[in-house]
Amino acid sequence: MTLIGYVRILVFLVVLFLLVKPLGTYMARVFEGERTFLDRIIRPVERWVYRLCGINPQEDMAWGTYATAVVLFSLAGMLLLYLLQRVQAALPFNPAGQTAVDPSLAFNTAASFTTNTNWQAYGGESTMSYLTQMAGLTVKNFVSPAVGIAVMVALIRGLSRRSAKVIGNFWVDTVRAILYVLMPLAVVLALLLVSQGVPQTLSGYPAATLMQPTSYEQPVTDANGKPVLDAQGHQKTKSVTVTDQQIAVGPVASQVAIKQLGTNGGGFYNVNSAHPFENPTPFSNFLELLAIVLIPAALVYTYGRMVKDTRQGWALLAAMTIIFLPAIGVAVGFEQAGNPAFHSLGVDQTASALQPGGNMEGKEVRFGPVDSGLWAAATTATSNGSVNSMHDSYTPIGGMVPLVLLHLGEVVYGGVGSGMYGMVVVVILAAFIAGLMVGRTPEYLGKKIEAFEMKMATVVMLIMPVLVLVATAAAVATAAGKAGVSNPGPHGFSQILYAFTSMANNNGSAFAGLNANTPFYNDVGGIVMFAARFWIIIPTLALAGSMGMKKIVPAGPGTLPTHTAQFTLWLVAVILIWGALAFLPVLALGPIVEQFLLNAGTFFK
Amino acid sequence: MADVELVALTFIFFGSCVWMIRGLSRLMGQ
Repeated sequence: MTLIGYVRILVFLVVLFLLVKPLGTYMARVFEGERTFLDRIIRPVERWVYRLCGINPQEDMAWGTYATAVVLFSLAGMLLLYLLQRVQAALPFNPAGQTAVDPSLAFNTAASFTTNTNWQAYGGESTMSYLTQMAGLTVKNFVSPAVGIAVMVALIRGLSRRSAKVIGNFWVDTVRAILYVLMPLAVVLALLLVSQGVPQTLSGYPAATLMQPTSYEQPVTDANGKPVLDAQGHQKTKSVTVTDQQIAVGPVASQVAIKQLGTNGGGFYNVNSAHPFENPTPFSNFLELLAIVLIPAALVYTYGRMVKDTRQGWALLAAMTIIFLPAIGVAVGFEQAGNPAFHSLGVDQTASALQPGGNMEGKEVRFGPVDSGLWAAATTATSNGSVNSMHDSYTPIGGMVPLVLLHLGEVVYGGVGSGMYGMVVVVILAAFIAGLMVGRTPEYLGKKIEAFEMKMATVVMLIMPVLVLVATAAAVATAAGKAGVSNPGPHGFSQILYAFTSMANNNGSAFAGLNANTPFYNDVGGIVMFAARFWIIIPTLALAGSMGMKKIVPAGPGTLPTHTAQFTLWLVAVILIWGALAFLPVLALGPIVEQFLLNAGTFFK
Repeated sequence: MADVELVALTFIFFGSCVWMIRGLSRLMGQ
């Protein structure tokens, strides 16, 4: 890697960690109901929302009521987004004349945006009207991370309250997350993105006359969209000459801002942040990259503040960073080293003043291997899933880094809210195992960890691997699953594994080679995304309820401290061992064997 | 799948969530 590459990664990390404490402190004040500098502007709006929706902000909910509110709110949002896509052709703000979205695709997209996955089996600019993008997808981009934050805040209350049967008000937590955290940050980021050239308009797609008309053979289809065959059974084609091009624009900046801040990841355009309108400059790339990790990292400090022991937050942040740094190093290192198959052909892959060097397939020249690899690690360490390069084109080990970060359950900063509550569950598991190993009382933050808490933690940790492995096995065992694969051999297996790993972690990024817009992937994927979100949120809230009812025991000589360097390293070990036990065999069948074969000069055609 | 089947699938899934909440509440003795 070049010196400038190291400097870029260092600058990103320094700016990120400088922002963690101020933003984390601000969010703690928001969720503890304290005064903030935005109160004068936002408090009246907040009160108006409560009045309009009939919310009593003083009501404190038991965990079951809180969880039921999460589920019913999400069901309503899911159905509304599905309906919006199905009837978009008859609604306004549709200058490109987009037709109704196919039922399976609409189901998958609604499930995807309801669960903060933002997996995109569609191309935004060729499928969705402006109204669907703004009133459907962008609204979900605010609401779904707010739900994640609300669940995290409820879990913190469960850990920090003494003998309490209530864990907060879901509606208040969600409204405050949107109004005080997500909206102000999104407005600032959207304006900064506009300054870099990202479009923000409601006008239709302008047409540009091509300097050189292009001709190609277009497949002929009948009225039902079926291919028309000639006498020999081959598909008929007709010659088409293109003289002008529609330039897809729209309310891009506003969607991109919240897509990054809310760890949503669903882009306005099909190629996401690799598109020059969605991410035009290295500075816009830096801003978007920072926005991916900013709130999840700051929420770790918020956690420390709210449990009244910031050392706990710093310990978790350290554990996350210990995993994040090597992941960046491996992804960037392998991509900068280039494709081994090209070395024997004499292809120059070294970085120089004239080229970024490395493996540039599927990458933008304006970003190169460093900004691409850094983004790939950040987008999968969190549950963001946006991409600025195509992970399918990475070297096998470079592409394995996003997979491994997903397999660790996105607890390395993680999704907005979901990363932190996922990490707390792992901490409870780590504290329990460590307590048993050294003969100390299994407890965390002064609360005893007993059978019910361990059952909930185990359920939370097993759901994701079960979903990934069962869905991947179903796909490779069926013709419908294999039909979407574009590469034979281990890379094709990696494409399927990545797709279900992404959906089962509510991430949304893709190995771009897989054609996932088929009824199999849309329907099975929709269910996987639902289960990955709600079957984890419910036991997490049950854990919050159970912990909330316990007494807080003062720390004594039998207490295992959970803020020390020793516990931090133990936590890292638990995360890595758990991930390896669940996923090393499937990684061996995909990227690991592919890298060995590539080094040996074996290719699949 | 058709609209009706997909909406039914959605309700079945969210029904399972409500069932899970009730089951866990009972397990906790609430």
